[in-house]
Amino acid sequence: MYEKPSMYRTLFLSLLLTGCANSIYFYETEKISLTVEARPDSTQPVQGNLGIKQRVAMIVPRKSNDNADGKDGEALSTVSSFDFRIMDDKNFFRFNPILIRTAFVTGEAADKLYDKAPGVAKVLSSYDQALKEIKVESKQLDEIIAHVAKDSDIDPGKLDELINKAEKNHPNILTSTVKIKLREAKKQSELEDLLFNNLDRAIYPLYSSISINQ
Amino acid sequence: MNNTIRIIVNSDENDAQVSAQKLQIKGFQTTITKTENIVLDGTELGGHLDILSDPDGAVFVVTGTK
Repeated sequence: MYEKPSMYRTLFLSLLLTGCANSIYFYETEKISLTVEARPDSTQPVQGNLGIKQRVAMIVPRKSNDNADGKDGEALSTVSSFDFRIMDDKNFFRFNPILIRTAFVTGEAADKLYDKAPGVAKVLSSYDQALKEIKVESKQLDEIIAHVAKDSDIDPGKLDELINKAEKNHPNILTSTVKIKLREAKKQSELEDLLFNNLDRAIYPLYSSISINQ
Repeated sequence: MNNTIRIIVNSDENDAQVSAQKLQIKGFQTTITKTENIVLDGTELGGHLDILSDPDGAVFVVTGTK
């Protein structure tokens, strides 16, 4: 019963907007909510909820083209994209930042996005590939840290042993300057920072050497 | 003054784009330069002298600064 006025309003608005030639009605809302609940009882875990709500509405009139066959053209093409990720970033105050990417492309731009602008598609795919590689490297880095660290300190003997094993198979990566830098790391955070930000090329050689003669 | 400059050399343009994106995610500002020959001279600091090129074509130098 109470929904009727709202329905009439929407219908009237739709007719009003579509009645105008070449007019488009576009509506988008995004709502994000975060709830964190903690209790004084230390045995109870901290609980949290993250919610995202997105609503997109579009009213598009038919496009009137002067086609050779005399028929009207199709409605405007649209491309919509929504992406939600939790990124592995050990340097972001020990929290994993949340990345939300949304895009809405219409008309000829949407039609030609991949045909006429391959560079755009290339950047999007390279970004996804970069995220995948970082995720894999982060997991391997965790394994390395678990192998050479005790609490927050690095066990220099274990680190040295791992470096020497990795050097045998990857001498062009575990060069003398790289080995010196790695051996300077005394704390877990120092080694994490060094490998993640600057020596990420050395992560796989070190990771793959963990299981050798273990 | 920058704290760190990272230089990555790729033989493929797509790989260079991925390398640049990885650096950007880690907070670096990046540029990609296409060239034929790269000469790296780190001898004054105890490093190596290297000359790099790809017989199949151009090489792409990704420079990241942070």
